[in-house]
Amino acid sequence: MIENLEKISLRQVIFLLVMSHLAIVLLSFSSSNQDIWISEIFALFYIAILSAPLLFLSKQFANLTLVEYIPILTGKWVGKILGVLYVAFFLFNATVDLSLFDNILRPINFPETPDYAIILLAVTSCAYAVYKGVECIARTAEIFAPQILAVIILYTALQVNDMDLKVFLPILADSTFSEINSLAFTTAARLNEIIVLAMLVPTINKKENINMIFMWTIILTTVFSLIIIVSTLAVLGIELPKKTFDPYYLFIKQVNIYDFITRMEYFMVGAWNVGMFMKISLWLYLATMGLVQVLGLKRRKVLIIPMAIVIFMTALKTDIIKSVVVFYILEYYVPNINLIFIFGIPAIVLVMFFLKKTMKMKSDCNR
Amino acid sequence: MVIRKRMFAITLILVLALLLTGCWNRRELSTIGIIGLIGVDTDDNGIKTTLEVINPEKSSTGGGGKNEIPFKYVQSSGKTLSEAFRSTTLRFDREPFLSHAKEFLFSEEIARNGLAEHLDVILRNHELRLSMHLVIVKDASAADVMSIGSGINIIPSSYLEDLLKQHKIHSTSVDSKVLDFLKTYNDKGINPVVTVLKKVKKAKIGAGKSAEYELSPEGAAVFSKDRLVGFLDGQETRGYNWVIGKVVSGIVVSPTPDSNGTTSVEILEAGSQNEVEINGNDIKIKVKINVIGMLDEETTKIKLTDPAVIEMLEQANSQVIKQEVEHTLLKVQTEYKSDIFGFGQLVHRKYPPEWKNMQDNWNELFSQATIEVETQTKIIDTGKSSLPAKE
Repeated sequence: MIENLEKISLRQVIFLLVMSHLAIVLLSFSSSNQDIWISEIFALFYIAILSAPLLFLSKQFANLTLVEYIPILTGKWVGKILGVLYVAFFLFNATVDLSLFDNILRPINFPETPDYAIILLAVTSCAYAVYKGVECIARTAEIFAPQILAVIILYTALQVNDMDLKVFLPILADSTFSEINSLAFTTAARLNEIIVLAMLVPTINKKENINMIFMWTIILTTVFSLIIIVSTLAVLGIELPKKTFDPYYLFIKQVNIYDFITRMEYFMVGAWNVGMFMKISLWLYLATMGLVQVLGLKRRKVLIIPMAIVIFMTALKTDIIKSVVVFYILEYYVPNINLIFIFGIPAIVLVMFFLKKTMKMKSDCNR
Repeated sequence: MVIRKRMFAITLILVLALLLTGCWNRRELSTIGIIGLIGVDTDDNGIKTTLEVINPEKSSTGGGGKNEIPFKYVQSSGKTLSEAFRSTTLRFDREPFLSHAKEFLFSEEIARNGLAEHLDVILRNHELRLSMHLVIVKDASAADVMSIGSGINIIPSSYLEDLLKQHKIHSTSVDSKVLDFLKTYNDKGINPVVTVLKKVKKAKIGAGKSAEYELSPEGAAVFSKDRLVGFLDGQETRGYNWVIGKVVSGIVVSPTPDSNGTTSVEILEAGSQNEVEINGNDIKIKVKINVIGMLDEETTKIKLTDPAVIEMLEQANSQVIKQEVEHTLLKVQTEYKSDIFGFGQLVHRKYPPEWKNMQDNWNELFSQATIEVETQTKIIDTGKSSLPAKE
């Protein structure tokens, strides 16, 4: 255990995880038909299943991070390889989020600003947050998350009169049970915050409440995702949002109260900035933390700048910076990659945990 | 050491504050042309756009001291709207800034060939907004009507916006936004209806200088998918608004029973309930309209204090509304064969399995459907007078 002196509260970690997920839903979500809200609710069931192995392991090794306890169960070298894979996963997420941030912000606010300038500013501020530690990122979440959640409710309240909830009719007529389940499964696979939790467990004040933390996270995430998606579709209809990368932004652009309250997008742009700042900082923090633990280094902070350079260069020099590529990755690759890391590897590790436990019990009996 | 650190931090913040004054995308008011109105016509190159560029300096001083108008027009052409917008800078000294455009005007010719292809730029461009009014110009080019400003507001785009917003007062026009069009165009079981604009000869009153033409948004443009198929006149448009429950106010004039007079009822509240029933191959659409009104004018002598007389007036009023609605429905069914009312969506909600087979040729099925209209008017007030002025 290295540099685990930092402590974050339950509320901070819940807000951090909720914002980490909602930051993406605010940017972009894909809709199928009028039954999407049912899929969102169904997703709760799949989230519970997919998160179960990591949640269980995190309870068993409450004083260790995911990267720290994997070698205990799988052996040193396999554990280290898996640890490196997780670090790569954190960096991949940081890069995708960085590119997303650029691709949403640039066309809307800074169409002529070069990508490198936007990304450099984002990476610099995130690297600074990582330098200050997870307490700093968690406090940011604690301060801003309630405000962002309030803004989401405000946008919905301002557009209530323009909403037509009949767009959600007929219910369950145009989608089969398997289609709803498939969409619910994909929605669940997008939620990778359980890994964040598995990495942050040792820094949480009351580790015994990890189940409660996760439960509140998925409840708040689902409720606010539903508010975002249902409001957007009720105003824009079912088909039109499919044509844009950022349907929620299109929705908030329609706010017009008696021609007096209009052009309210700036709240949203503020929320995006803060949300993505938290998310990218968090991934970068986990990457540095993970690599320190894999390599057994003493100091975490020396890795911040090299890692920031890695995500900066990857975002800038690869095709991921292209909007088509990053949204394609988000839509088709991210859920599958998430599945490997939130469920695949942890499930195998969990099997090994039980095997070891059984073998230990047998050897104890033999003695 | 702490003081030095703080000094460094303060200096850094001050230096960074310099960056806040601008960025790559700074656009000074003196370098941009604020666009109020966009007109789109066809020409040999493909698309011809006419932009109304507002001069903020002149408009803020009430039109300028030397009779200068606070706006200018710039025209350009291209194969697409994007190209045409960019081409304006070849002839005009300011780059067009489209964020404040209030209306998007399309000529009838463009609308008849399909509007959707020209709206992609609005959905994609970061400056253009879906809340812009979408207007089809009838019997004239878009550029033609753009220069007409015969209202109190001297800037044509503002005059037009104010004019369009008054649809609630008479209900004989529609106020469609780009978003409304894209929503109905993308959804199945409904077709778009768009604001129509005509230039009409202005009556010359008095010896003073006055504009030759004025604008009228009376009526509506009917689309089938994204193609314009025809127009509704003012009364027919109100018929359409009755069905979709969008009548806010207006005056319904009906003959006063058993006399030569006429009764004017002001609409206070109006609502509609639409239903569909499918029996085998028969599609039956039921439209029920309820109106609450106030007697606004009575031209003949009748006993308005008698509830039975009021009931007679209510029936006469209902009859007029019924005729208006039936006429509109018949015209749209037989002439345009386009379900602009969204009855298809009702079928989708009530008969989802049947809808799957109907959705592709719904417009055809709609044109053959039986429609039953029921109207009911309640007059709840007779204004300040109890008896008519006429003896």
